[in-house]
Amino acid sequence: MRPTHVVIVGGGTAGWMTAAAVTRLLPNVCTVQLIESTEIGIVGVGEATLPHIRAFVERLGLDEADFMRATHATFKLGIDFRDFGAIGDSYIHPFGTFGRPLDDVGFHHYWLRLAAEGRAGPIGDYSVAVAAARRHRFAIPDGAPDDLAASFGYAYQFDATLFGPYLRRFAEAHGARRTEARIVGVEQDAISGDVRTLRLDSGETVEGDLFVDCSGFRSLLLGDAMAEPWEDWSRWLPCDRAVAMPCTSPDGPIEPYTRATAKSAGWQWRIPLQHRVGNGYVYSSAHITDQAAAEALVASVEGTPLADPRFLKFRAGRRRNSWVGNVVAIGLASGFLEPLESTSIYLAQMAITQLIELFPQRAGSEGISATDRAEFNRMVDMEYDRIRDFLILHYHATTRDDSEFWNHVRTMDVPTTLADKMELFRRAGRVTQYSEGLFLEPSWIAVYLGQGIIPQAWDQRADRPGLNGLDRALASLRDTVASTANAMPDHAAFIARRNATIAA
Amino acid sequence: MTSRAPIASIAVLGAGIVGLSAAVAFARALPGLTVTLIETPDDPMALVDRLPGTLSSITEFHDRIGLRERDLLAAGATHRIGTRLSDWTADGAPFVLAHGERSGTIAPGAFHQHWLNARRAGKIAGFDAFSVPAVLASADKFVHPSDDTNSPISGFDYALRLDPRRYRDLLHTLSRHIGILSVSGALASVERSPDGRVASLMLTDGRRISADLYLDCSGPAAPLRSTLDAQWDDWQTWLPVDRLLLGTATAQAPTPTDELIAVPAGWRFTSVLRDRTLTGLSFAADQTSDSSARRILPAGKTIIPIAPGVRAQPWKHNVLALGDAAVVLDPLANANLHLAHAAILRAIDLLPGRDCALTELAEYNAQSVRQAERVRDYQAAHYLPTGRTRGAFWKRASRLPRPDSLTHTLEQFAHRGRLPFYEDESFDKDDWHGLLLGLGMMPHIADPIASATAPGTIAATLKRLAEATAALPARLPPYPAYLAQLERGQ
Repeated sequence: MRPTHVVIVGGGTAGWMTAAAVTRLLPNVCTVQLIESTEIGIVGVGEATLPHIRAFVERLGLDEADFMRATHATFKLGIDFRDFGAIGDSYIHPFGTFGRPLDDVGFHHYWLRLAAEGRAGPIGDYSVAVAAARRHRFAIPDGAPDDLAASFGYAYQFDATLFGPYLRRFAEAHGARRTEARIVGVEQDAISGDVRTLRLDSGETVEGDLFVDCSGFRSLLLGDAMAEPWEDWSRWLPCDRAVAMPCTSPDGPIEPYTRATAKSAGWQWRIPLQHRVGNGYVYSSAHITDQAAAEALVASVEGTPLADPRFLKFRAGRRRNSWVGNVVAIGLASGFLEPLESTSIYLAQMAITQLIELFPQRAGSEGISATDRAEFNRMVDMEYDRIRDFLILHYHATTRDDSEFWNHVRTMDVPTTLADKMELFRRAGRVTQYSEGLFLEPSWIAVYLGQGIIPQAWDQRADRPGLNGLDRALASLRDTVASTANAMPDHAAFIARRNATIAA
Repeated sequence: MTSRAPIASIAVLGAGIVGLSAAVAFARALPGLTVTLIETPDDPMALVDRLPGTLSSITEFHDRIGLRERDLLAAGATHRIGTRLSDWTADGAPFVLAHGERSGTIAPGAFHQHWLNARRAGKIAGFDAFSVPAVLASADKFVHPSDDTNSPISGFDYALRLDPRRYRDLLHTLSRHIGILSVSGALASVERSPDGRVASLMLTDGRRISADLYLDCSGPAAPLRSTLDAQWDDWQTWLPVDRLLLGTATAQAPTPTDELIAVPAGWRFTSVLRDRTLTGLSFAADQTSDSSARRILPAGKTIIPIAPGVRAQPWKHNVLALGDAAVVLDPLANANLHLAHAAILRAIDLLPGRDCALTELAEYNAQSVRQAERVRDYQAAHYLPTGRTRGAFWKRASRLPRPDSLTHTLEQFAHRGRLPFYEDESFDKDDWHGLLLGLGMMPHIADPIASATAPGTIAATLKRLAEATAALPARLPPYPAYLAQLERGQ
């Protein structure tokens, strides 16, 4: 049987992730050709990731230390959100839990009760991930499942401009073929609309069975050729620009977390890598000019700028379907959600995982079944919708009234799915449960509480223990959390110990 | 600061297994709660109150109310590790359903995909030959799974087979022990307040019972919940059984394996208790008369009509319907009590304030209905056209229309052996694989990931695994001896 010929359009992060995974996991089933042009830049600006990335690294069989060296990576325990709920507020959304459930009741219910009495510290004091992040410490989670030392996960912060090339070496070693060219024409089947041939600026033509569109915002195949409609979410997520500028690392420890600071017309990221710090201001062009945004960024960064401010344009939303005909879009070509919760690479990874599971049964366009396409699109929809709601929450749950931008997001109508979730939490601290997908209970709790959604009541069962006993138990837990974090090594020292430090 | 009034009292209508389970679980979870149990005459149609079957989830429920396995064994329960389905397949070959992972990872890709590849390549042992609990069940053996994940006897769950009468007595004793008030009487009328909520219950002897929250655990007629509305989603289109003949046969040696035997008119089941054997025939009333049913199952005594379906809003205002009052299913998948217990724990987890605000109720109702619908789907999937089609009952059952969610599941599986994800599944992927592959459903397309490993290697590994698994039961004592040994140990 002839192997399926996969043509990947675009060699950014999504393109090389796809090439690496497909060549590694489906070695006999397909051949992979990736077309990219060095003339076209990639969007990747310093990337913060989610713990799921580790499954990708492991599944490909990459060595963690080697991967971290190659991408100048640091460890990441969560995101520090500043000035979101109100100016001056700060909370960490950790990759980990708060406390431990007691007698079938979630920790945060007991915390709510004690906090109402003014006898609890900030909820982050009961999370090892938060405590370690605040102390700039890190260790690999370890121990029995209910040990505090195992109560968290971790991700990486790395240089996306290095991640692509790193995966390129891997993919090429596994048989992916790279073609340096720009695409100047797309020929489609007159009846089915399937893509048949790509014409390159070299004059060459490329045929394929399955085309993976990793062309970024351009969405060359899915958006242009297949004309798949765009579903616009800017009414909820008005940010449509970013300006990025890397700086030198300040002296001192490296934070094992990303920082997101709310600004008058959006928010600013700060991603500490080994060799530099990535910075950027994500903003709404309706509320601030490019010039003013760049000035605000330059004025607020620490360290010496390593480049001039660079602008990016985007819009929040997604193509109605990500897989149409024989075209699958992965990464920004399929949709965009701002990097507030570091979801871009996760979304690409999720789509790649689904594509591999639903990989066409044989070469030729009849090898792709409508059932597989529908299932792929169903999974992508579910993920996008859930992440969308979670992101909107960061804007909507606020008391900020210091700018037009915040007045808009604070008062806008949110999707019913989110309104219901918020109301459920507001009533008695219940988090809508789902068992698959991103952002489970601790994440929602972190953002709700961190941004001032304080429930009116808590689970009645949290009233069972005596108040003084509860006070003592939480105080002791807080001490244990602190000592667990204190026992961890310094983050930078840990990277060095893992032999993951880049050569000076 | 807490601003809402908490629920301080509940009244439970019906003191069968569901009512007692609810009363005890609420009282255990909320020690300050006043629980009044209204012991109404039993509704013989309340299926949950008379079936012995449970799923492994019952352990969690028992943990919550403070019952240990030995308490259950002392109350006549035995272990159930699997169910043998006989004459259920196209060729009549039996297969066993048991709950647990199959043989772990043997190469990149899912285990069932490797099995399917081997099966496509040639002869291979049945899918259940790779499941440790299924192989034990097949040999009528049981042993508690080891906590050591390296042990071959690990990674599976088991359920309990209850003696319904004694289980009810146990719950009853427990309810008294923890101070639950009980009154016996029958419901005469329901008093409503102007906002639609229930204000109080009038009993036939003139007593009036008032509470913040009312639980209707009285069986499918749900005399309390149905005063609010008559809403009911009928599932008779999807499920072929609408009548049950139940009976008792003489005692047999205890076994951890239940039997489901397909017959032309439907299916028979037997469940061996300590002192008797419960047996039944599930059939369709328009195909088989009660007297024919009695000829097929001479031990049969009681006829129970079943109208499968669900209440889309089991919780409305301050009335919560539980058990058969909320969802009615035949006993095919042993999920009746499982659904009732899950609903009770969910109600406690989502307990609203005294106002019973819609927000919490909507979440409760959505989760409960989703869960019940997936159990319905799993039961409906027992009648695939790839399985038995002989006999009037099976001919029709295999051609019944299917709910969209099941159609989606079956399409995905038939296509490439993949199961789409649904929230609130009671039966996990291993359960679905066991059922669909046991019924002879063969996916059309080989899995690309599993296919990356050379078939020769996989075939050899599978052969070794099947042999190793088949050798396990011989090392274990017969179940009656194991049970006796457990009880001596106490």
